[in-house]
Amino acid sequence: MKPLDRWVFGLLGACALGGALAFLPGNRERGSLPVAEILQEGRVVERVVLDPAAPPREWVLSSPGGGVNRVRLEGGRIRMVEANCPDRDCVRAGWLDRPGQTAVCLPHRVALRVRGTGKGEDLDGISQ
Amino acid sequence: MGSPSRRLVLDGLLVALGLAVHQAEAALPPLLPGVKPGLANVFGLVAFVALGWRDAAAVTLLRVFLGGLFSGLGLAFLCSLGGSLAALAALILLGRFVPDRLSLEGLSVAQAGAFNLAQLLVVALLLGSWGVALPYAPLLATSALVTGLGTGLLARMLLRHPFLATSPLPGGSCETERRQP
Repeated sequence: MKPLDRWVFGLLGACALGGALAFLPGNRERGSLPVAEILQEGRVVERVVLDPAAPPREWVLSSPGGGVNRVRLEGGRIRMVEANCPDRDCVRAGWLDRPGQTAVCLPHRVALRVRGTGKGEDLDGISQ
Repeated sequence: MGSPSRRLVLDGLLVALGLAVHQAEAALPPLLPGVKPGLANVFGLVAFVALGWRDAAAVTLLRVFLGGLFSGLGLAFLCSLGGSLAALAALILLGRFVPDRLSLEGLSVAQAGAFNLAQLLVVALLLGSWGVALPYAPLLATSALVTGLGTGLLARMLLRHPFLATSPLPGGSCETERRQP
């Protein structure tokens, strides 16, 4: 152990411990809350955190050709509540609340997608 | 420091070895998101001790750019480049204290810490959000301690190799001569 070693190890150790204390207990829930994305024509038009404490919200998405999709966010979940497409698969997908779940309305090119945050998903692609 | 040809051969060798390890690591699944062993930096450290910080910078940057050419100039490359530049900054700042006041392992840990910090910055800038990147800080600090230590120890082992430690190129006429690096 050389004199400066103590500084290097100490500084990083403090970062590790301090950071762990700051982030792990309090932010665990907030940090790992999934995020829902509303996509239209392949582009993300809305991104909301699925926070159970957030007030309910609704979006109405109109597509060219008269397509309408109604999306509802409530109690940490999100779903398509209404669509005027023939198959209504997206509505039948029901509530989404876990990363990886999707509801796709192919005729209107509208989709809901739930992704994780904080706990890696977004970083996996980068770290590889 | 040895002859210019020795230096050239060593630099080339260290770039090639570093690139091989870099690519092998990239092919492995990450232990944890954002965490890689970073063993390729062993060769940067070896270049630093055997030849000096300029060679360490050349060996590291060449490896990063060549690695980027092999695996695509994507996000991984940006993270790698940002991290490596920060690690080189740490080397230039702290390298002069090795080995009197700072051990090779200490330098390696500082480099790993700088690398991870820069990587965190790159990710935060790209995502446009600190919220996603910042919770990684403790994980990255811990991994810097572990991987930096491992890399430093490995570099020390490698530097015991007679080829690196003292002798000029094998096959030369100076086998009996003992030169200090």
